[in-house]
Amino acid sequence: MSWSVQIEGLHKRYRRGGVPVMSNSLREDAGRFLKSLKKRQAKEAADPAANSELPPNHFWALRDINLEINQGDIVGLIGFNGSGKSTLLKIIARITEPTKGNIRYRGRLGTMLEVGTGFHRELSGRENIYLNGAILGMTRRDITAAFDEIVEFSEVGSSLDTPVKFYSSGMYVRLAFSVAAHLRTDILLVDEVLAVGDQRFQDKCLGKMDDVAAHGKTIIFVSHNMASVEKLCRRGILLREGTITCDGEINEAIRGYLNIGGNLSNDLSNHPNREGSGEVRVDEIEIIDQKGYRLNEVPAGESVRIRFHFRKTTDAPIDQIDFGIKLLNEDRVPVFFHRNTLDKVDFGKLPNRGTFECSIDRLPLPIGRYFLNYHLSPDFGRTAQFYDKIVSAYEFSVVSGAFFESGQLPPRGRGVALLNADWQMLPQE
Amino acid sequence: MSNESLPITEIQAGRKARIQQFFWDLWMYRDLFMAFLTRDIKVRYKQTILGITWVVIQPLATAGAFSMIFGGIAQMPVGSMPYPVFYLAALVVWSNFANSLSGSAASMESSAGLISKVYFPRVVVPGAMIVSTLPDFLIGFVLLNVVAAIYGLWTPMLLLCLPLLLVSLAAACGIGLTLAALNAQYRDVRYIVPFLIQMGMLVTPVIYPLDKVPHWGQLILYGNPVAGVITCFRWALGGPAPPPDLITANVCAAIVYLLIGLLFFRWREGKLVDVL
Repeated sequence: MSWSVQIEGLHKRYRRGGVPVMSNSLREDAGRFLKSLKKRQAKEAADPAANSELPPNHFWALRDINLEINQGDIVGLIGFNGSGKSTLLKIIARITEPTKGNIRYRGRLGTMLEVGTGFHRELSGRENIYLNGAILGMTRRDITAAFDEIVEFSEVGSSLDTPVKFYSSGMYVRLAFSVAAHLRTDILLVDEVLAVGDQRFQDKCLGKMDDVAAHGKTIIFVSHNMASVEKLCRRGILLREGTITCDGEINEAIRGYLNIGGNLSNDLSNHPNREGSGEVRVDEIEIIDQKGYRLNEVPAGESVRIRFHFRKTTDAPIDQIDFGIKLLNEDRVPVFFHRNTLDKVDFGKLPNRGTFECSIDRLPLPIGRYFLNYHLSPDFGRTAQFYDKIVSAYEFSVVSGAFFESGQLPPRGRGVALLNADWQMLPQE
Repeated sequence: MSNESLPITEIQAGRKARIQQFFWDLWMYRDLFMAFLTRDIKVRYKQTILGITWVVIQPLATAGAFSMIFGGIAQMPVGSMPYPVFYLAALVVWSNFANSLSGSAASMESSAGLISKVYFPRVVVPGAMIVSTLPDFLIGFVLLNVVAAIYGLWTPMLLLCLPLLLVSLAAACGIGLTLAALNAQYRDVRYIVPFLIQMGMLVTPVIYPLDKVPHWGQLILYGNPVAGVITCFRWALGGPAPPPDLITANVCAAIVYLLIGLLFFRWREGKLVDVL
């Protein structure tokens, strides 16, 4: 398989806070301009690394990016806000120039960085299809050839000759996406645009992307929606603070992304809210996935294990343990409670050090922040005594994930938990 | 289906396109150029009651007002030419220059959203903006022909003067490109442009005839391509002939402005997105 995009030693430097205030800088700029005219070429030719020094108020948005993307690859580019993924996309798309390094790509390149770029409110749907198509790099012939398909895909139909300012926002984005989706380029750069329209149209868009990919096109896809990235991409590239920290299987990159969430301290040794007599204490809590990676953000529907690492502080034997957890959502509404004694699990005699592990299959939680309380009691919990207990011992986030087949999640207001259900239609005999 | 036969595009930090690349880009992106052009023309008088009639009303009303004030009240010595013809000939050219200049100077800022989201040769935007002023000019030019004919002054010479508009258009393009690139970074340009156009009209023989300008003033006008074009238009309608070296100097000046504009724009082009 031959390469489609090659990136070598790419750097991008930005000035913090944009342009300096005008007052004293135009003169300064003019002076610098005259100086740079003389120096620039000589300096850069002599020592390309001279550029890598960082003037005050500047920062590297990208540092030493090296990549080779093959024809037909569908690459998910992920990372937190400010990690440099949009900058990388913009440099490949030639929207902004690199500070250092170079890029090569084969064939025509199309970008979908925003839905409806260049739409003009006063123009009709028909006129905007031609205008937007031309902006995206299609020739008039391309557009005419795809015109009927675009109109049909957009479901705008009879409003085609109405100015788009009279369109509903749904119609507007549908039309805009349809034009972009019919770009016939060899490489397609897509940034978060799939989150348009209603559910049904979003599915249609995802399907369209799959379709495009099936034709040997190379796609680079930037998104925060791990469910759609996972669905669409085979390869994942994780950016962090302007450098690539993971490049491999999409799942591996997503793990990495979820891992570098917050830097929550899981260490409970100095927790202020601790109660109980203290013969056994939990020192650390962590949530891990099936492969044993620690998660700070948990995708909905992920099968996880919540681990409580404990330490015994007495030589006396301890058994008949009751260990319970309670989970509250960000409105402090209890979502569920569970303990080992509910399922008649007996841990037996506790060792000096060990771990209580609670496995949850397909975590049924909607997106949001959650708080975890736990208690550790003697006598299977029959008395109101605690060895150890912390309210809000651990805090974590649930992010979008593939609990449901569609990868979609109901909005937060629709309930505190997700439900696994089966649907069927029974015709009347 | 291999992609090895496809053309390779290379982006290298710090490498600048050649100046010919501008025109090649304009050609390669001609469909986009046409799309912007039709947009700019179609949108101009959208949601106005009078619509395209504005193109006729504007020069007529201005020429009428100028005739009354500078002709009727101030008694401007314009020779034998009737005031309405004298002023209309100048205004048709000047308003085209002013519109091209202000349109192109604002073009980078007004398409900032577009520029930060998709690549195309940036020069397409001001380029289309300048060309889109031509229909308005042509309507004004037809109007001038009609008014001249009414006064019995029309000669075919007027039609031969038409291509001279390219001189003032080239100047507008050069200055407009420079200002557009500057405006991306320094929004002061937004306030400079109307001021520049206002002052520009005073240092151009719009209100007064060229032959009433003292010799030292004519030297200044060597650098003002609009001066030559207006004087030629008036000459075709029976006014005094412009000095030939003025025309030569004006053409040279227009070419210099255009080159400076193109070079400056090319120099700033890659940085535009980062400072807009």
